[in-house]
Amino acid sequence: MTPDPRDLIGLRDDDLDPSEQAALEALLARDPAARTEHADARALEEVLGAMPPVSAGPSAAEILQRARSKPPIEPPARSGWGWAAGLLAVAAAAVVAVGLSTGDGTRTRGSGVDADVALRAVAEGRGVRELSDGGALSQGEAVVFHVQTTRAGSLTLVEHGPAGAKEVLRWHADAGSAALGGNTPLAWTPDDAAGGQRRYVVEWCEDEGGTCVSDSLVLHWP
Amino acid sequence: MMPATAPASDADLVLAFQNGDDSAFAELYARWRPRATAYAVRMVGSPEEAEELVTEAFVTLVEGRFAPTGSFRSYLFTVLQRKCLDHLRRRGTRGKVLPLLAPEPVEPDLEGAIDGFRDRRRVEAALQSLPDEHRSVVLLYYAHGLASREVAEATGLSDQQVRSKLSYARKTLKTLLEREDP
Repeated sequence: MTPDPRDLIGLRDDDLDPSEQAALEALLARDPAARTEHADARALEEVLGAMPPVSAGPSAAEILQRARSKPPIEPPARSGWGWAAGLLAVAAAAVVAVGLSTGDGTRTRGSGVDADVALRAVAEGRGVRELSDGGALSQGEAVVFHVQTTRAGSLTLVEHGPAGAKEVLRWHADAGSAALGGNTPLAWTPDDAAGGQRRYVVEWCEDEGGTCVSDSLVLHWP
Repeated sequence: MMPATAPASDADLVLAFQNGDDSAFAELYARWRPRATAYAVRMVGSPEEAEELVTEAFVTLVEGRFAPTGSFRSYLFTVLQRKCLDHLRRRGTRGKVLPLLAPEPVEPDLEGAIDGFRDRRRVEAALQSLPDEHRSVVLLYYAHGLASREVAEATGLSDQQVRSKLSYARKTLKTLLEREDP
């Protein structure tokens, strides 16, 4: 569909394909108001492109030291379901059905599936600390979720709170461990200001829409 | 005469850092920290809070997550804008000051723009009136030169949504600047 050339005003040439560029040029040639708006955008670019003076901040060595001095984040030990146990289960191709009560019903984990998923949470505020299942966050902290999977597949994280279930994120992940959001870890806080207990359920499903497995944990918000 | 050595690209520096060369990180940091800080100050208003957010962003990049799939610039601003928006959300209020912005003469050579868009101090002030997400999109696109698809990647919006927000933000700024025109 050809976009309205008015939607192209103010965009740089390198963001336009040849047909968009031609449409914009034709609009600018015939419409003085469009020319003014386009010139406004160029002036805005020039004004904002001038960087304000800023402080130097800490040195690169300090940044590296700060990043490396953080304690390594270990997966939390949760009753009856550790990461090591999960990986061993995969290695042994164990077939164990474990009922898991979650906020939206009972799901099965490990029922004939050679895949596993584990969810853990890290509180981020002024520092970083691991949260165990049932852990509490403090005022001003957000949570970064980490998910470990043994196979690539589709993942969905859902928050179950007082107002019901809310999908936090749906994404595709390769096997391994990653922060939710991948390269741009999501620092999550509930949308409403109400504190209290919320359950977070991550569900991994085979890409072809086959079997799913899930893991969950409970967090307490201030 | 010896040919001048071209500066290493961001991608080369990222690779060198991943291979254990800390000096590569130092160069990336020196190259990008000023622009990152300028963005954060304009987002949160407070130079002190902006400095801490930028530091946190670089720490996050180093913490085993230093794996940009696109350009380093896009990766950095993706992390930083998330931190700024999270910070504003938690704080619940927006900054109102830009005390470090010394006036600098700007003389756009473009004809036709309204006078308000030529006045840096007024533009900076009007920028603070935009909703946070719109301000972020305007800064990433117009101040830092990210392509619209890079802005989309950084903000989690579609390319069309980015274009829409840019258009809305420009019109809002224009209304504000015209209203204040002497």
